[in-house]
Order: sequence, then C-alpha cells, then structure tokens
Amino acid sequence: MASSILLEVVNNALRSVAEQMSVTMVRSGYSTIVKEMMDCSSAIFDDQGRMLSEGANVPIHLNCLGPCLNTVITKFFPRDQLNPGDIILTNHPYAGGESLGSHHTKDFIMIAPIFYKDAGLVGYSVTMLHHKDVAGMWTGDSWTVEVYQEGFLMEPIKLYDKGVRNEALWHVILNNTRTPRDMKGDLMAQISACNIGVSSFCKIVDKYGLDTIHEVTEDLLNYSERMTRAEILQIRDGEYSHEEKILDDGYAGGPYTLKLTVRVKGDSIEFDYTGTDKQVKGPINSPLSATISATYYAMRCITDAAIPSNQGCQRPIRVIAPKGTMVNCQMPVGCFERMVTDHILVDLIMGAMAQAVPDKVMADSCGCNYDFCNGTNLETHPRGGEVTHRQYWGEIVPGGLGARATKDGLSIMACHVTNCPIPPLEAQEIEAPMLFIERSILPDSEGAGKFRGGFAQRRKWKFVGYDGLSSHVSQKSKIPPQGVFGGRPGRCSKWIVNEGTPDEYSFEYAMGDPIPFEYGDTLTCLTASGGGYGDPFERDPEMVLHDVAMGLVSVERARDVYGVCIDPASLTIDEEATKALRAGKA
Amino acid sequence: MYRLGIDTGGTNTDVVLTDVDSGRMYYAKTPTTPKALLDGIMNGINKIVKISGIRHEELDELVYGTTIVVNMIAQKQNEAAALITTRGFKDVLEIGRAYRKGNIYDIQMDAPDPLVKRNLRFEITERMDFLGRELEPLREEEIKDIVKAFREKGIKTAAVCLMHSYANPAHELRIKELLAKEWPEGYVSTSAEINPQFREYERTSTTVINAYMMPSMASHIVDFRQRMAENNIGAELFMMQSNAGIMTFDVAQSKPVSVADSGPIAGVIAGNYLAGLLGEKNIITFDIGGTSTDVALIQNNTIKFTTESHIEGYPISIPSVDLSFIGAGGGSIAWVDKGGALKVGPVSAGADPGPVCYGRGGEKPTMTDANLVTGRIRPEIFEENLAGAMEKTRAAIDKYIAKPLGLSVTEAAEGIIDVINSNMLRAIKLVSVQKGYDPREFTLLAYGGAGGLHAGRIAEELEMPKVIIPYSPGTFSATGLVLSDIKADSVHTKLLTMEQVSPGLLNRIYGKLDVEGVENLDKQNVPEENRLLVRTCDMRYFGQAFELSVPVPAGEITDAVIVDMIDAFHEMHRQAFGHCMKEDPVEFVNYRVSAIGSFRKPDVVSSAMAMKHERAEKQLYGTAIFDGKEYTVPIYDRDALAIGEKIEGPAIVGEMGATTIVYPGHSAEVDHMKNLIMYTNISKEGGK
Repeated sequence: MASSILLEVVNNALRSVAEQMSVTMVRSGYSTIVKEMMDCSSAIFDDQGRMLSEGANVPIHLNCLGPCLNTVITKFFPRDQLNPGDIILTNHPYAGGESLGSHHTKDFIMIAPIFYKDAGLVGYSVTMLHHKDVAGMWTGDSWTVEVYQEGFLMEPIKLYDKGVRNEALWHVILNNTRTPRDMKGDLMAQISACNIGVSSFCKIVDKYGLDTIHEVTEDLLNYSERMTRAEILQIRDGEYSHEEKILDDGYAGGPYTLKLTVRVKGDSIEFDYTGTDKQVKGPINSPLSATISATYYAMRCITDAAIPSNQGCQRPIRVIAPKGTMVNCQMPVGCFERMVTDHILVDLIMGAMAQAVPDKVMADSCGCNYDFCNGTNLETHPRGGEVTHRQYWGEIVPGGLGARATKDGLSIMACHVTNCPIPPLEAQEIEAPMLFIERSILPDSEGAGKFRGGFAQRRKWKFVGYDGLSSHVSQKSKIPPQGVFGGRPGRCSKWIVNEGTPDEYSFEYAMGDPIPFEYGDTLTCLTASGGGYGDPFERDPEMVLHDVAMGLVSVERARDVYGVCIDPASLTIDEEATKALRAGKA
Repeated sequence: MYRLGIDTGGTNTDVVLTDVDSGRMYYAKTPTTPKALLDGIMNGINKIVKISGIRHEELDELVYGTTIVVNMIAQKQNEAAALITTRGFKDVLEIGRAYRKGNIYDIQMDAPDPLVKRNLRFEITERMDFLGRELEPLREEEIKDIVKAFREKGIKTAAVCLMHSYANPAHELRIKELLAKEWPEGYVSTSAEINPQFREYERTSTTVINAYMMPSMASHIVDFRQRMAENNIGAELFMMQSNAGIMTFDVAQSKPVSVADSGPIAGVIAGNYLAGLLGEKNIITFDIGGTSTDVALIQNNTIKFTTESHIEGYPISIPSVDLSFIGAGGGSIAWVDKGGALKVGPVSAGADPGPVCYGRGGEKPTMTDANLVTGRIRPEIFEENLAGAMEKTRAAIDKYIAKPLGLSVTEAAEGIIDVINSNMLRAIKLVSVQKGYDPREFTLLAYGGAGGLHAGRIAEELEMPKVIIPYSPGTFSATGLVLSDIKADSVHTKLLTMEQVSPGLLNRIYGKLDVEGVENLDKQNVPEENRLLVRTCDMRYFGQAFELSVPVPAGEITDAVIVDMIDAFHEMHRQAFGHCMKEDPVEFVNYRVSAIGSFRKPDVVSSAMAMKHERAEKQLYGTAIFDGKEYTVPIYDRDALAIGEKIEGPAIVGEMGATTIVYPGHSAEVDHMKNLIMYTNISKEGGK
C-alpha cells in the first residue's frame, strides 16, 4: 500500500482515538466546566513525546500537553521508571523549574504511558481536565499574587503505579478540595479517558504492526511540517511588529505592554516577545507552555486549518519569550488567569501578521470574560452543595469576534483560545439559586467596518440565594478591541451591579477579588465586541440595511458610522443621500 | 391486504408493494420529481400497480417516507415563521451554545443563520422557575401587539417557547388559546407539546423547526390526499418518522418535526426486522448511497435512539434513531491536497454529472470510478451504460491521482477505495467503539447500491466475522416502510434524586404518559390487541449533564423495580465510559413512553423462498484487482444463485442496482431467504 494512502488511514484512526477520549470526559464528567463547557482535552503522543493527534475542544490546552509531557519525561519520569498501568498526574505550572508544566493549578494533566506487548514503551495517552476546586484562597477565583494562593501543588507523581491507585495521594487530593464529589467524578472520567487512549492505540498497533506505525507516524509528522512550511513560504519575508496593552483599566499598576516581533524567513517563522513587560503580581501571567499554545493556535489559524494537528506543524516555528516576563513567568507568581494574557497574544499575532497576510487575519476580538459564582438556598436547592451547601454557576461569557477580510465577525461566539459552549440557562437555574433576566445580542455594539465585527452580548442574572460570592474576569474595559485597515474598534466590556436601581454601580476594575452578593442583587455583563475590517463607508449598503432591519444597528448609527441613509418606516435606502454622505467624507 | 411503501430520495423514488397475506413483494424505481413530488410518486404507484396487477382501489395502506422537511430547511424558504419567547430571551435561538464546532482553527467559519430572523422573534412578559412556580404572571394584553405585527409581516406560523415550560406549560398553552382567538388563521407550535424537556436552546430549535414546517406540511398533505382521491386510492395514509415508527397523516400535520431526519430510517427498520428473522441479535446497518453513508447500531434487536440529532446544523431533541452519517458515497470525488495526501470527499459529483464512467460530463474521479477501474464494478452487469467508459475513467484517475502521487492507475484506484474505507470505518466506530460496543460482536448488514462493494473489506478491518447482503439491497430502505409500526413518543421531565424518587411518583408519571400514549393510538385507530407501551427513563449520576436511557418494565413500579433501574444504569455507565460509581447518587431526569401500534407483517420468508432462479448458460469471468494482485473472478447474477449455494472469494455478484464483492479469503453462502451471507473468516481472537 502506498504511504500517502496509509497516512490518511492511520491519521483517521488516531483522530478517532483522541476524539473518543474527549467525548468520554465530557459525557461522564460531573462539574459544569467539564460537562457543559467541555473544558478538557486529550492527545496521543509517540514514544519520543511527539504529538500524533488531538481531541480538540479548547485550543489553549492542546499544545500545552506537549511541553508538559516533555518536562515529565525528561525531568521526572524517564522511560526506565515507567511501567504498564502507570498514570502520572501533575497540576504544577512550574514543575521542573521552568513554566513548562500545567497552565494553572486547576488544570490536571494525566499521562498514561502506552506499552505494547514486548516492544515496551510505544507512546503516551494524555488528558487534561479543568477541575472545579483545588482549595486556594477563595471558593471561586480571585486576585492572587502567588501560585500558592491558587491551590495545592503536585509535581508529577504517579497516581497509578502498575495499575494500582496511590490511595494516600487520592485521599490527599479529595481532602483538599471544597467539592470532593465533583472532583472524584471528574477524576474518574479523566482516568477512563486515559485508559481508553492506551487500549485504542494498542489496537491500532495490533492492526498495522509497530514498524508500519513508526514509519507512518514519521510520515504524518513530516507531512504536517511540509504543509506548514508551504504555507509560511507564501508569507512575504520580513519583520512585523505589534503591541497590545493589558490591565488597561489601571488595576494592579497597569496598563502593561505585550510586544511581539514576527520574523518570517523562507519557510520558517519566529515569534519574539522580547520587550514584553516583566511578570506582575497577579494571576494573569502566562506560563511559557501557555504562550507556546497561544502562538501555535494563532499560527494554525492563519495557515490551512485542514493540516493534521501534530508536532510536525510546530517544527518551523520558533518562540522567544524572555524568562520572568508576562509571557514566560517564573515561580512563584500567580498564573491562574493566564487566559487574559493568552487571548491578547492571539490579537497581538493577528495585529502583527496583518501587514504580511492581510486576507488571513481577523480584527481584535472580545477576549476573556467570565463569572464564576456561588451561593446557597436550602429551600430551592437543598441538594448537591458540597461545602456549606454552596451551589456553583457561571460561564465563559462569549462576546463578539473580530471581522475578517471578506466576512463579518461572528456575534456572541466562544473566543479564540477558549472554545467552551455556554451551559443552558435552564440547567444553570436548576443547579444554583439564580435566575436569568436576559441573554441577548447588544445592538450598536459592533466594531464598524467594510466588514463589521461581531456584536457583543448583554447577559443579566439575579441572585436568589444567600451568602453569595461572585468572581468576575474581563478585559478590554478601557481600550476596546481594535479594528484593522480602517475598521473601527469594538466596544469595551462592563459589569453593572443592580442595574437600573438606586444602588447601581459598575465594577471599577475588570478583575479582582470575589464580590459578596445579597438575595435579589443583579449582575449585568456587557461583553466586548469584535473590531471591524476596512472602512465602514465602504460597507455594502444592503448589508447595513439588513443589520438595521434586524434591529442590530440603529438608523442613526447607519448614517453616522456607515454613511448609509435609511428610512426607518419603509426600511429602504435613500440612494442619493447615501451617495452624497459617503462622497462628503472622501 | 395490500401495503404500499414510497421512499422519495434525492434522485430516485423507490416503491415497494407487499401482499401482506401471501408475503409477496414487488419493487419499482422512478426518478424523483423535486419540483412536483407527487408526479414522481404517482409515476411510481402506477408503475408498481402495473407490475403487480393490482388495482389502485385495492391498496389498503400506504406508508410515505419523505424528504420534504430536510429540503425545506436546507433551502431556508420559509419567510413566514415567527417565534415568541420569554422576555429577555428572543436571541437564544441565534446564540445557541456559542462555540465553534468542527475545525477549531478555521477562523473563516460561519454560524448557521437562525431559522427565524431576529425581526420575527417576539418577547412576552412572564416567567416560570425550574420547579414550575409562576414567578411572573403572563401579560396577556401583550399578545395583541404581537398579533398585529404577525399580520403586518405576513406571518403564517409561530413557535412558542418559554423558560421552564417543561415544568409548567400553563403560559404556553394560554398563549396558544389566545392566538387561536386573535389569530385563527395561523399555525401554532408550543414547546410544551412538541418537546417538553429542559435545555432551552435545543427545545426552542426543535419547536421552531416544527413551526417552520407546519404550513408546507399541511398543504403537502392536502395535495397528497387529493391526488390519491383522484386516482381512486382509498388507502389509509401513514408517514415515516425519525423515531423508527410511522404515524397517520393527521398526526404528521401537527408534528412535522417528527419527520425531519426520517430518510435513512426505513432501512434500519428493515435491517432490524431481517436480523430478527435470521436470529441475529447484534447488527450494524451500513447503507452506502450515491452521496452519503448511514450507519446504525442495533443491539439485542433493539434500535438505539438519541435525543441529540441535528438537521442542517440545527439541533432536534426529540428521539431519533442514532445514526452516524458521513458525506461519502459512490459519487464522492477523490483529490490530492497540496501536501501530497490523497483525500476522498466531501465534494460529490452527485447524480448529475455523476462519476466519470457515467459519461454525463463528470471529469473528476469518484469512488464509483475507482471501483470500475479495479474491476469490481462490472460493465457487463451494471445498470448504467458503461460501454467505452473504462478508458476515460482510467485517464481521469491517472491525471488527478496517479500522476501527482507517482502511482500506477490501479494503485491509485485501490488507494481511493482504501481512503474512503477508512472514512467509513470512522463512521462505524462512532456508533460502536466510541459508545463502548465491540464491533467484533456484531454482524454487518450492508445495503444501498454500493454497500456490498465495500462491506467485506470494512468487516475484515473491524474483525467482524459476518456480513449480510439482503436481496435487492438497492430498494432495501423502501422495504422498511412496509415493515414498520405506528409509534408515538411522549416525554416528561422531572429531576428526582434517588432519595426523592418513589414508586408512587413514578407510577403517577408513567401512568400519565401511558394515557397520553393510549390517546395517541386511539387517534390513529390502532386496535387494542396491537398496542404496546414501552417505557424508558433517562438517568445520570447527580451532577452529570448527559443521561443514559434505561429500560423500565411495564406495569406497577415497586421499590424493587427502582433498584433494578439503578443497577441497570450503573452497568450501562460502565459499558459506555469504562467506569461506574455505585456509591454515588443517581438522578432520574426524563421519563419516556413510546406507544406502539404494531402492524401485521408480510411473510417475507416464504415469499423469498418462492422466488425462482435461472442459472445462466455460461459462467462469466472477469479480471479484478485486490491488494495489487490481479485475479480472474467469477461474476454471478444474483437472481441465478440458488438457495444454499456457496461461493469462495474472490467473486462478484451483480443484481438490479447493486454489486457485491466476495473478497479474497472470504466466502459466501445464499441463505433460505436469498440473503447473501459472507464470512470474513476471521477468528474471534483477532487475525486470520
């Protein structure tokens, strides 16, 4: 059989394994972040730790499994210390002395070495799952300055040794969470997924033989490398720089600067973050493994998305991130909210590459918004609350995405490196003492452009319990998502407590410590929206009319921002007036 | 007693007629007439009436499998559908679950347009909570403005989906009443009637699809009835549903969403029926058509269902047969990407222009072309006229595949088949391995025009020992229509933990659902002795979000029954995910009753046994290529094979609309019903 054919056949088989691992975690997991938001991922690696296939849910996870696996097998468990039936567990962002471990303490990475008959070690089945609570300062998220405040730490350790569970470790883990029941359910799901990866990979080896698998996986990696290099060759050689700000509202000494220079030479590309500010006393620092993930993700987005995801895609890419900066933080700073930085990294790369591949990039997107809350109400929600009957809710609140070269940005859609679905409103109300008042598209919020950014979301809930705590994270609350090539910026994010009442106030900062909530309090979240692409005066008037007809853009905004005059009663375009208005601008 | 089945597909309308008393079956095929479906349907009926010698007025029952819902949704033609939601939530339909499905790196992807546009979505003040308590009364006066807007915008049909209406439908039902008064000319679908389950987006989507379809379904049914009357057909009329049952036209008119994905379902019914007759408990049905392949898993002669199906990207959460679908079939086009990998699909040459070998202008090589070049499809017995096609087909494979990859034409052709087989393997693994079933314990039942071409190799790859190719696999799906029963599903959502659940509570819930089921069967005139109520319960561990469906016995539910249900759940969880947690509390979520009205089935066994066969005077031989080796293979006419006849692979069996390959190393046998039973000769321990 010709190798190009076997390549496709084995690639399909490997994808199937990784997908099955992810499905197992989502469908049998316990906590909302796993079962409804799919915050878990999986991948299969060969015996040298090179990724062969991934079960893609959340982009930021995937490429983080590789650096972490490498740390584990080079610094903790070399192959002679591994046995069939082992599962290694870690959640330590700084394991091995760098920041090439887990992304943060709640992300547990499990590594099951795959042994095949007499051949010994042939690969690794790896899963990662975001656990609900690993102790830490608060029940929920908060502004931490040291990693120790973010929960207990585990350097790589065997949870299973030759198939036997380490009961002492198991109990220590379950003793150090506020939600032991959820933790146990999620751990079981993760273990099952790892085991499925091991047995399924062995079945593939059974079928094709080890030599063939070695040859094919080598080809598969080379194939992805070749495809990626072919794509890089099409990018004009040169240096492209860009800057973005973070903590733009001034919190904790902000704003801070993230800086990037991209160097394209032939079929290689270098992402150099030199010039980025030093790590800060706060949880938003990005470990190097997360910076690498975000960079690989953005690179995959601007190259052919159909290239099989494996280590070969990464070979032409070099990442330079100076130690001790916000993109390569070092012990002991916090890093739990590394997503805030990692979302900006994608915008940063898109911004730099706009000069080189204008048709492949998108304008800035909403970035990271979420709220995680808890409270009690024994009358409506008597069951399931694990510590003082607390019930949890929250979501990664999707906003608008950036516009593209030939298309509008998507409205209310999971942003770049997170790709978590929103849980059903009804499911959240069933689980926790809260009521939704609204989930809707926020009109007039888009970054205008020839192609407009995606609209923001307006989401509001009321707390109907006691002893409430709400943590929130957002970004771009002062500097909005930027447009490109004349596209206008999107809108900033905002959180409002008790909107429309005499007690109304907005959060001063986009991040911070948990806020106490009383029965009846409401929280309104207005997310950021996507930036526009190209001059709004060049937008097809029919597209402007459509947005007006849908109640998404007001007649005034159509006139002022897009230069399109629309009669509100008949919903028709006044061609003459539009022409005059648009000409007047030029 | 004559029963007629009509299966309108994308290209052909298949018609099957059975004399239920004698078991005799008649088959006919006519082109589908997409612009006026009824013309094609009448052509088919007239054709089969002629073949069978039965008169129109003698037809007793007619079962209709239609794609009208899929077509309507795909074309997004309905501009006259509206939606009413709880205030604050009209955008839920458009926002959905808000994540990127498919390729997460594809930043050029689009979200599907909502079926009801934003300016046709209306909000009304009211609110229930998850316990069904009214938090805010319904502001009935707001209906007047909504109706005014309906009239201005020419709305013909409306969906109503309010928060937590599954827990308390009062507001939705009141809105329906008010609309009936204020807006008598419109159609109304409430989520409480269509799909009373929690998860607002999926419930709304299901209800909206129903509303969207109501006017066209109603007029289609009127036209259908009229056309039948004009032709003296007084048969009772039924329609196929995606839940593997049929319903009367009256029921179909009020619940068109039930028809949504029913296209490939009849084949699964026929598959399960045949499996039952053959004593096969566990089968995987494998239907390869021109543009798609559908796979379903049947365990213990029980079809698997899902409440998470999609149509054109829009979720439907009423129970449907759990099908795995891939867009790969005979017309799928092969190509080489810029990294030098061979791909097949998703682009299809369809029926027009079709594969290169059909000579209708197709230039890109397809799966069918690859089968021709390797000698597996035989010009001498294939329906399409393939005279002189070989040269052109070889040239196309050479140009687009062989040259770029540096392969010979036959290597390239075999490569195309290998790649498409690997795609199909993934589809089969989705319903089997990924759900915890071992395909080695199943028999592959292959049909559709191309099922038999690939089934042997696919079964070998999955180490499945046996493959069944039914007689006339090309019309097998239509056969399922005349073998199906009436089925109506009812559901009730109430989240109860192990401690809250009690025999009294469950008996009340199932009692009510049973009554609903019986009423439904009453409406469809099902005689008492043909009724069956089947209960299931969707259960999960407290804290999980996905449920497994556990069978519930009929009759009174006692404490012991509840214990059995919980035990069954633990075991299903272990099988599906590899672990169970016996110490954890189990939660009861949805309660379901399927009301079944069974039909008398034709005696297909004796009908098959009565079929004549005539051996051709001279055995045909031809050259075919398997794994790079040339073989001289016998070519059999299926109709000429005698019951009990044995065949050693490699061999090729041809018949109307289908070809079957017995691969090298495999063997086959014609059973007592003229099915071709193939053996891959793989031992259960794996390997040959």
